[in-house]
Amino acid sequence: MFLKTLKSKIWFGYTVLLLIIIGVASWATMNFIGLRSAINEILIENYQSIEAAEKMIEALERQDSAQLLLLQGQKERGTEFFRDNEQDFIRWLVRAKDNITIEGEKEIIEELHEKYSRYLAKFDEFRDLEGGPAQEYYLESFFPFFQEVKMNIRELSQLNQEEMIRAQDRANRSAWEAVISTSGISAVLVILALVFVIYLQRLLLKPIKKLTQGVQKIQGGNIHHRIQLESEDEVGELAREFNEMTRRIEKYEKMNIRKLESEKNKSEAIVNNITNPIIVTNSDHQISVINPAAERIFDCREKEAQGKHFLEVLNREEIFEHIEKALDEGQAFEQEKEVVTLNVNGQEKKFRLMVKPVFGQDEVELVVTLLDDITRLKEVDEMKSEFVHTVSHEFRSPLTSIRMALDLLLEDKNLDEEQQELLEAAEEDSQRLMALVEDLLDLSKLESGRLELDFQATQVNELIESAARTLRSQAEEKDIDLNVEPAQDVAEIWADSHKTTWVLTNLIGNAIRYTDSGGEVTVESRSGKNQVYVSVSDTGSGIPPEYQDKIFEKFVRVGDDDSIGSGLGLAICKEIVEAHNGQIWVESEVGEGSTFTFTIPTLSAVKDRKQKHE
Amino acid sequence: MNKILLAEDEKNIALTLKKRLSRAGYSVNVTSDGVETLNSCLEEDWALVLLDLRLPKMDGFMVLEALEKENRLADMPIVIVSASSNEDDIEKAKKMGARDYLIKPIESEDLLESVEKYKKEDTNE
Repeated sequence: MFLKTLKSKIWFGYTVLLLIIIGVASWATMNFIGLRSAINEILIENYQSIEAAEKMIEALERQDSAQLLLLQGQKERGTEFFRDNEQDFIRWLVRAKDNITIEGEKEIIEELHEKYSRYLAKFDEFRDLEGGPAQEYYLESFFPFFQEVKMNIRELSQLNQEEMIRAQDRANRSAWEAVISTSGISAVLVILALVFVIYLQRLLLKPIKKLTQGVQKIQGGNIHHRIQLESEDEVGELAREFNEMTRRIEKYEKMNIRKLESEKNKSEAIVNNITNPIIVTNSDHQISVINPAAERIFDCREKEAQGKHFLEVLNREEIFEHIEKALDEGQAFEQEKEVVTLNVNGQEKKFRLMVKPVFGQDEVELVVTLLDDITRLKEVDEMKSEFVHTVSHEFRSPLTSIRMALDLLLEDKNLDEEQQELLEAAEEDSQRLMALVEDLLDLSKLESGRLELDFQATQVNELIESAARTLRSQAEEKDIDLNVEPAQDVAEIWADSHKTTWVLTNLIGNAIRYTDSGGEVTVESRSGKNQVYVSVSDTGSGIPPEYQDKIFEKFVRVGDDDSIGSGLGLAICKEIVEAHNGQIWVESEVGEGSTFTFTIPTLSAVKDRKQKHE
Repeated sequence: MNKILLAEDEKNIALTLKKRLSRAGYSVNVTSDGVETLNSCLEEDWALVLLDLRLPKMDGFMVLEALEKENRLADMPIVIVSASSNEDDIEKAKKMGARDYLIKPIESEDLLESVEKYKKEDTNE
């Protein structure tokens, strides 16, 4: 089509419609003009002729009157009158002649002219007559002639009148025809215009519709679809641009997919190469990922396991309950002391379980379960414990005979001073050895969790009293003030009283040992939110800041080597306190003194926690 | 009666303990393995038997069991002297009929106290 652009199409449409309108208007105008000429005919031409005829009759009748004047003897006046009117008549006759429009009109007028000329000639004859013959002439020849002329004129008039009526008819008919034809043509052209507009609409809208359809298809997901529009107008251009955009989106999507894929491959590679078994489950507890390490441990294949419920593939209730909790409560879980034992190819292996929820928008979408193989660690731990146990065991036997021997020797009354001194030294150190062995054994048991604590509801103030009692004499000997200041209404604690007393004894003993004569040792207790605080303060030498953390480690002793003690006391205190879920720490300033504080959970706090977990 | 049997395989411990008991007025015999100990128990009459759990050939528990089968325990008090402070061992020993359980290294007074307490009183003295 030669119509390239939308603009030209629209202009084309407009032009066509314009032409149609012009056509109709022209037709109407033409009809109006026709009508006008018809009216013209009626009004101007014919009317003028009729008027001329009337005037001629007037003039003629006056001329006739003029003759009557002559008959009455007024010749001059009559003649003048006659001649005036003759002039008029001729004037009107000329007018009528000018207005010849009808067929036959010319002949009538010529006849009229000729007759009038003879009338005039007759007048001349008449003028010369007088009296009776004049009258006779008038009546017989003049007057009938006059009537003939009049008749002629009338004929003219009538002719014109008839013509006028005919013209009127014609005008009417014309008008009517105009109405009909204009209506008819209008109707036809309206229909044509309608048809044309419909065609134009389609012409304009088809490409737009195609474009819309194409867009919808792409929107629906088919990003490969291209809009086929050959038109070269603006819509076609739009379609082409749209296709280009789609192509870009497609390319971008491909690039993204590739990127995502590469990221996915990377993650997969990492997960697959991690030696720890990893299992990922979704919000329905169906398995999403099992890495090769997990496949080996649980003897399954990821491809078969995917989509199945966790318990279907791995029937481990104890792992599943943590997964459930992670999903429902968003709680991560990490085992600390307990382990999950799994039989792998006949070998029993120990794992530390870690379960973590992965959050999506608002809720948990995935749960990641990781098993940390601590079999080796546990084995080493076991070996260490065994070793310590065996060693301390082995120490006891020789210590038995050494102590017994020293005891027996010291019973001798006949020892000299030197012997006494030496034996006492040996005895003292053998005692130290014994204490060390016991502490080592205790510590080893505590660390491996084998020392069972006997938890009871206890009043901490009682324990403080008990510990202070055993050390009061020692304090007195060194002239140290031992103050016990327990708070009133301290809540009951959930603790192993024996072990807790041991901690108190150890702390108070240390305080006394490291405080000089004249100093003070204060033991206080106070209530906290969910725990009870106990502190032992002294006015001793204090602990340098760099040692403050270290002293809770094994075999660390501050001060000179004179001090007795295995270096394990505080380590054991720490183990005992932490086994109660409490904390122990020190605040100290060199030269001022130290305050050792530890906390033990209250009975109610422990009860609340137990309830929460159930 | 003051005849005591000491079943202890470590010679130094045997030596010092024997000395300790001797000074306190007891007459002490030493056996160094389980079999020897059992035989001695069956053949002779002792006021008290100090039994170590760790003995060669037959350990203390086995000796205890055998004596129990022979119904000798009512007649022959047995006190365990062991380096093991294991609660299970202590319980087991007591269940099997030992009168007391002493943990090494042992204080002189504890040893003598226990011997005094559990030794058989001989009416024929």
